[in-house]
Amino acid sequence: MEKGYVFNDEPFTYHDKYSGCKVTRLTNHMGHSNHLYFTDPCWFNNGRSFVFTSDRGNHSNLFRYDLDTNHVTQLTELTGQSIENERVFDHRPAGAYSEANQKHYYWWQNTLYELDVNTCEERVVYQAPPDKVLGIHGITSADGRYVCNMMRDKIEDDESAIEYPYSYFPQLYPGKPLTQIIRVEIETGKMEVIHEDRRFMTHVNLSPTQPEILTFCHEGPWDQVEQRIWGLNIQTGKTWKIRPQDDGQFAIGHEYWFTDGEHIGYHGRPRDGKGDHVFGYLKWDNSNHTEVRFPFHSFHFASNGYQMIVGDGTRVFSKPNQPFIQLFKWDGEQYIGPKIVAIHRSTFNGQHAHCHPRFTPDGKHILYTSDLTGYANMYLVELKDFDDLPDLDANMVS
Amino acid sequence: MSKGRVYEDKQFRYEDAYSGREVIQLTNYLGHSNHFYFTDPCWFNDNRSFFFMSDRENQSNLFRFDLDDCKITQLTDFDTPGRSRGCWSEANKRLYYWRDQKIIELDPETYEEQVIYEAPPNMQPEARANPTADGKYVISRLQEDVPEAKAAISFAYSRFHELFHKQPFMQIIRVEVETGKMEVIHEDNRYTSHINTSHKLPNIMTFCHEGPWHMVEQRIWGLNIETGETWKIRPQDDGLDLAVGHEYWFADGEHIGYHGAPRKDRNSEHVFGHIKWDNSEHVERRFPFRSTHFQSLDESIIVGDGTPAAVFGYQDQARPFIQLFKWNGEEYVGPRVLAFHRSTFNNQHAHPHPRFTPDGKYVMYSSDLTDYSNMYLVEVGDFDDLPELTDDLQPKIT
Repeated sequence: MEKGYVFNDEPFTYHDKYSGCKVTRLTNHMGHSNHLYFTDPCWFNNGRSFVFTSDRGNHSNLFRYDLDTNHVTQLTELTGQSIENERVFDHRPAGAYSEANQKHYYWWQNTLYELDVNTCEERVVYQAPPDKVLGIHGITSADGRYVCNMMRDKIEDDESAIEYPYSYFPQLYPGKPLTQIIRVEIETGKMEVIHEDRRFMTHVNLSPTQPEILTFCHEGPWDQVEQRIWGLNIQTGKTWKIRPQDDGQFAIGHEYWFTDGEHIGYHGRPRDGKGDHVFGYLKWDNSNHTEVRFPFHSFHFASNGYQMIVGDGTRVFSKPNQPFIQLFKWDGEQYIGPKIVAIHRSTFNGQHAHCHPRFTPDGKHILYTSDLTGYANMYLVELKDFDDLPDLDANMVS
Repeated sequence: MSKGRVYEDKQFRYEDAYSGREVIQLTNYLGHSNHFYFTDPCWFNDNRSFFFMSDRENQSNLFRFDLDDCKITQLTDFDTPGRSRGCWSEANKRLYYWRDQKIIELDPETYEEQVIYEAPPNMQPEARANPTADGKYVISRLQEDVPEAKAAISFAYSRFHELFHKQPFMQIIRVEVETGKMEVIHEDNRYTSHINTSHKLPNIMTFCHEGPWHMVEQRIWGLNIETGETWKIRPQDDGLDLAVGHEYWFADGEHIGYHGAPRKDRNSEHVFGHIKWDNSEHVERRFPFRSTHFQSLDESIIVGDGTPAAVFGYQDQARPFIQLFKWNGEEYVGPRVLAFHRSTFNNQHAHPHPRFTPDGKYVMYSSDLTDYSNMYLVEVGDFDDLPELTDDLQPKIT
């Protein structure tokens, strides 16, 4: 299909059998549809629309979803193959929406594109060298002036091996590729390297309010990475540890910005894999640090602030089998919960089937993805009062 | 798209990382492709072609795959929801399947379709329309419609327990292919499925009492299509307290293979067995490794599909391998690793359902390791050259 083509996926509304919450499946297509990674800005049109990725007509493209009409509109006409830094988002576009510029930015085949989500017009901002591998993220600085991303040497071999999620991780972590954090000026396309290291690095997340601050991470097996989260000043190139791991106790990650653009949430587990998990948040300069032990595992946590956080539990068929979207609430001293919002029953097969739950900007709904129907689709669940939700206890399995 | 459209999915050959065998990925599309359930006849054209199901252009249809030129040809033009699968009749040179309450006969050379029977609207057909060995009848099962109390999201096995406990009225029917005349040959108030006709004996078939294996009193039943006589196959009232199932016909159409586990502990040592349709010639052996499905052409070598992949998590007991066992005259030796499937088992499309090609030289299986289900072909070769599947052989990363 062409840019501008409108799909009318029929929404399906039901009440979750565990929580009673109203859930609406937004998409319905025989190809995976999933929202952007939970750290990548996707909302626009006053929180009534968002950008997502979907496979339709044997191609992966970017689409917009309009909640008021339930229209799915195709925004790009991409074909061919595109590989990316982590090798887990391969061949599917993503990027991020820039509120400052009212444009979406994404990478495809080493090219950074600026996309107008209303007209579908596109502009090439920057073309990276063909021998480099670029990250999937395309977040702009808060002022809309720059896009920052990872760019690394290609070290993985091209031998005839079947590719599946994380199949390249064993090469990329010990391979220590020369990786650069680049800053591309959107107006001119001028690229500058602002940090580099011989190391597998990913997750470039720019603060939504501070134009000069971003976080990035040292990627790899969480229990082996010495220090995961780092801060970077994109004007000076200065780097610093965020939530220093010098104590060696916890493996942490999946860092994300609160909507204030000042605080960063994360979660983790003891490095030996035993004992309670942790959830924490702190300011970008390591002040205001709060970290609490958590009795339940989730692969990802997200929140707009510290008051209420959402986790995605386990994948289906795992032990324990607790594939629930779940909420934790700060009571002033600790996080209480979790409470069940919905069963997602997703396999986590690849990024398309990672639930990546995220709050809508108004905090009233949670958007998540699941492949429980055979294909990944996006689901919007309407939140009830926290106290009206059922408790998730250790004995509850799906 | 329409009948007769030819797809030429790019083939991909690679060396399995564990066995060293060459694996051929037969399909490659952003929609699921999978072969028929392992009990359902699919081979034709002197075994150089087979039928399969695939979701393309947002529609599920039936296709043929021709191994000599690797061409994929669309055979049907469905325009309603649902995935149909079929059973090939070697006697009639036709494929039979259910669609929209109708049993349809398809000529794979001309794509001509003919309705041979339409079920009443209040009765739900089983997935299979299985022809008898002489091609005279198609056998299937009708089950009273059990409406859902309220809107619910449908996913794999989401109503499995409900239907087991509801004990719906069901009829096993015999439809004469030439006239379309339907006769009920067996009826009961019970959740029933797996209608499998013998490939050799025109009057003999098996069916099963469906439900959670540990709760079903007697799973496998024989049925004489002419007389309506039923009998237990591999009777489960022998005091061993085993839950058995996934029964299938050997290629001789006389013997039936199955597997199982103790009712009280499905994780303890399993069994594999085979037996003649009249319960003679029974062989049953303990098995050190679990598979979700086993299949074989005879007793000499059997293939299993291990466990779902433990994607994005600790591997624990996950053994997502296609594996072989060989009869040495007294017991089954093995397993030997034939290929790493890494499938999630999300639903039937992602159950590997390994099955030997009719000449026994290859195993065909499906896997969703590349995000979408595709079909794979791997050469069996010399059993003794394959690596042993031992407790310490865990997938390195999934």
